[in-house]
Formats: sequence, C-alpha cells, structure tokens
Amino acid sequence: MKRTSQPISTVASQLLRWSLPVIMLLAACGIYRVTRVSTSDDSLATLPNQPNVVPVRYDLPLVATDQQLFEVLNRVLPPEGPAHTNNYVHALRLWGPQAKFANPKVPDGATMLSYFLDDATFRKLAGNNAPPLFRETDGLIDSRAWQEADPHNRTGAVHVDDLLATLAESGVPLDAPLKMRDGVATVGDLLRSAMRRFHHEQHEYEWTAISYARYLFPAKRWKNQYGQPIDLDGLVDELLEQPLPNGVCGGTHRLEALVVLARIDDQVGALSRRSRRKLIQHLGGVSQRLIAAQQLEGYWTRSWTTGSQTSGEENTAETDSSLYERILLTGHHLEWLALAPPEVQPPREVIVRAGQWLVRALLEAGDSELRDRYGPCTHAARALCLWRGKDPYHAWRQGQLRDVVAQAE
Amino acid sequence: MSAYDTALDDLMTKPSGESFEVRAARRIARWEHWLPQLSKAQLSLIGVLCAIFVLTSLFPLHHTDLWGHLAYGRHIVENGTLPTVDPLGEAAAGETFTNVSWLAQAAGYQLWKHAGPGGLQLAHVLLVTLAIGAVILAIRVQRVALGWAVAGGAIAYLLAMPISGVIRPQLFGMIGLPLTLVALSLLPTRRLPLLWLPLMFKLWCNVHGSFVLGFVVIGCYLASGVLAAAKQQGLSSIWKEMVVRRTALLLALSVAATGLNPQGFGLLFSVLTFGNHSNLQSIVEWHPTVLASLTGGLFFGSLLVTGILIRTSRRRFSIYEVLLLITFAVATLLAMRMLTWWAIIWPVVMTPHLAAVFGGVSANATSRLPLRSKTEITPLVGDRTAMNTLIAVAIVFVALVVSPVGDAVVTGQERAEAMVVSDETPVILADTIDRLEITGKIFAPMKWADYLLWHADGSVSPLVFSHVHRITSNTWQDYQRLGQGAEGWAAVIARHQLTHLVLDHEDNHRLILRLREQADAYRVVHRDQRGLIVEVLPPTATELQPGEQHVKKSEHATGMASPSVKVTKHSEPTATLPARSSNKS
Repeated sequence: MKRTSQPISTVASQLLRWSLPVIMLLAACGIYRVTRVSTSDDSLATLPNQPNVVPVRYDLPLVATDQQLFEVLNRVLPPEGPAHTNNYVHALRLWGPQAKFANPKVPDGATMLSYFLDDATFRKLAGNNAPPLFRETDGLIDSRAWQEADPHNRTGAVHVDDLLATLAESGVPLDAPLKMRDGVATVGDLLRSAMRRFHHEQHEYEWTAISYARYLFPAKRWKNQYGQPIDLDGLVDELLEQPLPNGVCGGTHRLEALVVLARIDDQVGALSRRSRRKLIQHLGGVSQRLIAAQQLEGYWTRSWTTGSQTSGEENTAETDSSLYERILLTGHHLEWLALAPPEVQPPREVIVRAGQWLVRALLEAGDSELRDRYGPCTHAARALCLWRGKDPYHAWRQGQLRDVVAQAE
Repeated sequence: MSAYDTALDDLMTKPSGESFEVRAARRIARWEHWLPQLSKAQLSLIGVLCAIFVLTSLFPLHHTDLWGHLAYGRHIVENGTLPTVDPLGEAAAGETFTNVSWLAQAAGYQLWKHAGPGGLQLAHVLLVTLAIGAVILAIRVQRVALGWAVAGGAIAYLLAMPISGVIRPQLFGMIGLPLTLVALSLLPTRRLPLLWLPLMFKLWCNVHGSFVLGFVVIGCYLASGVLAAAKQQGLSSIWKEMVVRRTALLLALSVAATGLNPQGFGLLFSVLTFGNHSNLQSIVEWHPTVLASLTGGLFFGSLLVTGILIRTSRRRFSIYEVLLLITFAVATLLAMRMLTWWAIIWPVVMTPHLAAVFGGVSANATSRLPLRSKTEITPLVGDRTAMNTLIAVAIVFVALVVSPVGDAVVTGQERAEAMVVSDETPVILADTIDRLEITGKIFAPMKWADYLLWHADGSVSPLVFSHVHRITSNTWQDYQRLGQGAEGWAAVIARHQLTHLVLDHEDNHRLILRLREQADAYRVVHRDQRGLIVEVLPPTATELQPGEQHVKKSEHATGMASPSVKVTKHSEPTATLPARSSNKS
C-alpha cells in the first residue's frame, strides 16, 4: 500500500526549510561561543610575591681591591641634607634596606625605604608641605613627576617607574604596604598600575622593563588600561629597536634592562627563542663596540656608540667629554656588563682597565662634584662591587673593621 | 502526485535487504528535502559577500574624519536640535551652517553610545557588504547571469578598496547609487520605483551629499531616453515615450523629496558648491587622479578594459551606458575621491558586456527578478543541491568566526577602543590631554585633530580638523604655516590664542626645532614616541617668583647635553626620539 505524502508546498514547510539553515548557523555559533576558551590575558591578577633576584657572578680583584672598594664606597654614602628622591633612589639601590650608618645625619637603608613606602616618613624628611610622592588617580597609582618649575621638584620622581624598579631591586615583596597620604595600597598595586599604564609609545620604559622582569616574570603578557595586549617579545623588540644613544644616560639603562631580562630568563625561561637570540646578539654587538671604543686610560665617552675612540667630530676624545660624562658612561657600562651573560662579555682586560680608571676617578673627584653627581657615582660604585661579587654595605663594613683593626694595631 | 513524488515514495518504502548505496540514497533523499537547495551561482554570491565581510572587517576604524562626524553627532543628539552655527568649526562671517550628513552623524553617535567602537566597525562592514550586494542586484536586473553579477560585485569591491576601507557617511551613498541604477533598470516595466526611489533620496540627502550623483544618473537615463525617442520618432514625439515620462517624473519626485530635509533646498545648493571651497585644494583626495597611485592604477586599468570591451563586446553600448561612463570617468579624472562612484558605475555598466564576451546572459530572463513558482518542485539532481546550502552555512559560520567583527558579535566579547582603531589614532595623547586637564584652543596635526576633538568632548578645540571646509582660508593658511614652522609661526599662536601644541615628531619637526630656540615661552608637558604636548606659557609665568629655588635637574637624569626646552614630566629634553617604526602594529 503506497503511503501518501504531503507535497512540500505549504508556506509552513517552506518557512521550515529556510529556517533550518539559519537554525544550524545559530547552533554552530552558540557552540562556538560556549566552547571558546576565554583566555584571560591578564597576568596581573596572580603574581609571585617576591621579586626575582639576579645573583652576582664574578669576583675580579684586579677590578678593585678591597681597600679601593671601601674608599670608593666611603665617598658615596647616602647624602646628608634635605631629602632628594633621586638621590635616595640611588642610595637605596647601592646600599640596600639593611644598611646602617653611625652618622645620624646619613639616612640608613630602612629610613630610605620607609621614605618611599610610608608617607609619614616622607613628610618627616621632605617637609609637611611637600606634595605626596604617590597618589591614586582613576584607580591607578602614580608617582609625582619631577618638574623643573616645581618648588618641590627635588622630591619628585625623575624617571617613569624608577621608584618601582628600586623597590624591586631592594627585594621589597609585592604585599608590602604602601602608605600613601590618601590611603593604603601595596607595592603590588603600584606594580599593577605601572603595567596598566605601560604602552609601546612610552617615552621611557627602561625601569618599567626592569620592574616587569623582577616582579612579573615568567608571566608573558598582560593588557594595559587601553586594552592593548603587551607581551614580552614586544617589550624586548621595543628595547632593541631604539638607536643606541637614545634614552636616559646615553642609552645605558636600556642595556641594563636587557641584561636583567636575560638573567632572569635564565632562571624562569620566559623569553621566546627568537627574542633571546636577538637580545644576546644585540648585547654582543654593544660589547664589541665597547671594546673598540674604550679609551687608553680605560674610560668610555659618548663615542662608544660609533665603536670608535672618537666621535668623528673635530674635537678629540680627550676634550669632547667631561669627567662627569666619563664616570657616568664608564660606571653604567661596567654595571650592566657585570650582570651580562658570559657570551657577551668583553675580554677581562677591558673590564679591569675600566674598573681601575673608575676607582681613580672616584677617589680623585671633588666632594662637590660627587655630591652634585651622586647618581652616576653610585652606579660606578655598584659596578665595582658587582665585579667583586660583594654587597656594597658589607664591603664597606668590612673596610671599616679593617680600619679599626689597623688603627688598634 | 507527481511522478517525482511517486519515485520518492518508492524509495522510502522499499523493504530492507537492499545494498548500502540504495539505503544511503534513500536517507539522503529524505533529509535533503528539509533544506532549501542553492545553485552554485547562489553559493558563489554568499561566498563573495562573506569574503567581503571578512576583508572589510580587517580594516580598523580610521583615525581621521570619522571622529569629527561622531563629534557632530554627539552635539546633535545631546542638544536634540540641528545647530544653525557650526559648534565645532569656525565659520566665516554671515556663513550659514549646512550639515548634510547630520542623520548619519547622529546615527553613528547613537551606535557608538550603545554598541561602542565595535558597533561602528560592525556597521562599517555591513554597509560595505550591503553596497556590494546592491551592485550585484543592479547588475542582475540587467538579465545577467547571477555568477557574472557576483563577479561584477567583486570587481566593484576591488575598485573601491582604497576608499571603502574607511567608515564615512559616503558609504550610504554607495548603497544609494546602485539602488538608483536598479530603479532605472526596473522603470520601463514597473511603477514601484516611482514610490521607493524618492523615499530613498529623502533618506539619502540627510546622510550624505552624494545624492546629487543619483540625479546625475537619472539625468543620464533621461537624456538617453530623450535622444533615443528623438532619433526614432522625432523631437515632437519625445513626451509620447512612456520611459521618458516616467524618468522625468522620477527625477522630479526625487528632487522634490530632497527638499524634505531640515535645511530645505538650500542643501542642494550647498552640496553643488561644496567642491569649490578653496581649502579643499590642499586635500589630496580632491586632486586629479594620477597614474602613479593606487587610485590611478585601478582607474586607468579599468579604462583599458573598457577600451578592450568596446572593441570585443557582442552587446551594443546604449547611449545611457556611454553617458554614464563618460560622466563618471571625467569626474574621476578631476578628483581622486570620485573613484568611489566609478567603482559602482563601471561594474554595473561593463559586467553585461563582459558576460556577453564570455557568455552568461540568461536566455530566459525577463526584466523581473527570477522568482520561482511556489508549486515548483526542486529537483534533487542538477545545479541546485542541499549540499550547496550546507556549504553556504559553513561559509557564513567561518566568515563570522574568522572576522574580528563577527567573532566579537558571536562571542559577545567587546574589544577595547585601542584595539579597534587604526595605529595612527592618538589614543595615548588624547588620554594625556584628559589627564592633564588641558583646555582651550590647541594646534594638532589634522590627522589627529578629529580624534582629539572627539575624545576631549568639547574641552579642547583644534585649530583645524578634517572638515576643512568649515574653516576660513586664513585659518587654513595659518595652520599650514604653524605646522611647518614657517615664518610667522609664533604670530599664529598668539593670533589664535592657542594654549597647547600637540606635535608629531616627524610632521612637525621644524616647528619643534623652532620651539627649542624659544624655550622660555614653551614647556613640554608630555612626550612619547609619537609626539609632544607643549604648553604655551603666558608671558608672566616665565619669570621666577622671589624666594623660589628651582633644583636643577641632575644631568644624570636628563642625559648628556643641557636642555634647551624646559622639561616637566618624565621627558628627555635633548635628542628628539625617532618616530615609531612603521612596521610596529
């Protein structure tokens, strides 16, 4: 018996036929939506508490003897006098939070650290009229920037995120409280704010990169406040792209940021192979230029970027740089080289000549010059300590003890 | 029951014990009836439209005049009225403010308000896809096979690529123009265009000034009808020709409909005289088309193909087609931006000839769209298959998830504005202006000014933004003088009482050098790799107040050389950083 079937001609069946593809499409989209893994690029949500540490590698007595180290460090004690944020940044970085000094006028490490973390200490040292060092705006914490016309500019932060990087280098954990004038936060909040504010058009990013390496590694990406994804490879590319002399202190802080990234990558392995290779190649290239550009006495001038001993202008190397510039460049270069991987190191003779020149320069420089150029001098002193594998405060304490013993004898 | 139904019934009731092939065929036959069947040509239509959807969605929101339009739209929506005086630009004395695109601007703003920048991007993609769909329709109604019509649409998209990648009110015109062509194709056999086309013009004249091009097209059609009638029946019998009467009526109704806008018939005058504004002579897209450009390459390439087809086409070129080609070719030669319209006219005119050369004009087509009878049984064999339908569903799904816009719609994940806009958009600078609470009149490169104007929501007023026809020629010259750091630049700042200068490292390099020579009068308040924000100091602020001691910024912090421009927040006062590398995305 034949089964009768209704012809496919009714409006309803036509509607059903045409709606089926639509239903299938909607179903596919629905499954896609449900199964799509919502990967949160926000690595800022969970962060390890302690900053990564870059251990020292070397001990070359030829760079500076113990006595020379002591004498140099004696010349770069934390400066007395009115509070100066940039000086405290450099002093804390050199001496560390544990440093204690007998002279009550010399701020010890704990005091300097508290200057940054506690507004009460800040006001005590900077004065009650000084505007706060940190403030929160639109949910982000930022430091007060140095401004030339500001009567309180000595207590402002000179570089973007330099305070954060200093806290990282001082081993301050992320859960350490940050007591601001209008509220309490943590160092972790300061870090998150810095990362949210970061963008690839930023003028200065050296200290942001250092903060990232020390606090955020091995997290590889995050999103800034504009919703732009920031990833590690992009950050490295940004550091590598700029011409060598561009940036603060003749571009040397960028090199420091790169070596810190490389050294911490040794521990946690976050860089891609491509970025790692590019980074090492770049540093190796810089090292070659430094070898070629080192002056006979051991220092470097601004001509280092050309890889020659002269800048190519009419003035000779002797006349086209001041002592301050030589101390600044030599100290910074020696400092990042002390942290650099072995494969980019110049011959030891280069390091020793630079170190010995620095010792002589720092010991012979006038007090006022040291005082006015405190920052670069601390970099130089730190470089010497790194090449001796010694903590600056302990090296200085050992020198004091030797002095006491020698006097007793 | 038809024989087909009987055969189907036999298949479905056959007892078991059959081979796998037979059973499979029966099952396939069963489910295929639940789906519509598409032909290969229909599948290609869906494929091409989906490809256009995906390709267009790869374009970010452009950094230029979109934001100026949105700023106008915001003003209109928030005030609830159309302004009689330009609220954002600078009018010459006695000049009335005519804002042709007010409806597009208001709609754009509402879309942004409710759907964010992702909504704008979706609108862009849909408008372009609809425009190409309209072009395909305009070709199809000329009795061209669907496959060729789809090819014509793809050609239109390629020709319009230099321009269609930017969301602008003219995208509405890119839908209106092909629909006008559709109406004219249907006019000889239908009266309905007499109703819907004037309504479309009424909408069109409130979104973009390109509606006058619709009049040009109708005019060409009318002229061709008059010439044809005059040639066949003599001048005295022109009005006896039905097509001539209908076309004239259509033109009259369309023109009348454009009077129904807030600005009345004055709008038509404004649009017709728009291109004469002296400031537009400096804008590249108003320059004549040259061969050594993408626009020129596309245009002259299409002219070459035209020449070949004139020689080889088996289909006669009508007077109407010739008039269209000549009119729009001349217009495109005179101004590059007219390529947008050439990209519509050329495929609509030329695709039937291409099809005639290679075959493809439907032998059985009438002037109606090919509608199938309701009782027609779709055969399971032949071009139309349910498998094509399944493939079409798959194509649409893939297009949705592959395109950033479609993916955002499907997943419901809103994308941040910085991810949707073009790289050139000064997102950081605009945010900095907000953060530093900068107000007043500013200088900014025109490429940034619209976005800064939009983002600041009235707190800053750029000297010039992309709507250059809204400013006087003196101001336009001042803008150019200041931007280039040419002689008299300082007087421009004083004359316009600028409070801040937003400068591009590359484009305003000379001005930056000039500023450094007069460091006491200017202060850098922000610097990044893209540009600077410089504050114009009032004369008294440069003097040091008694009792104040400024701590000299340590040279350790500033770098080597001493600064020649005063510095404030985190800035490098000496070397100008190079601009970001062009390959950074």
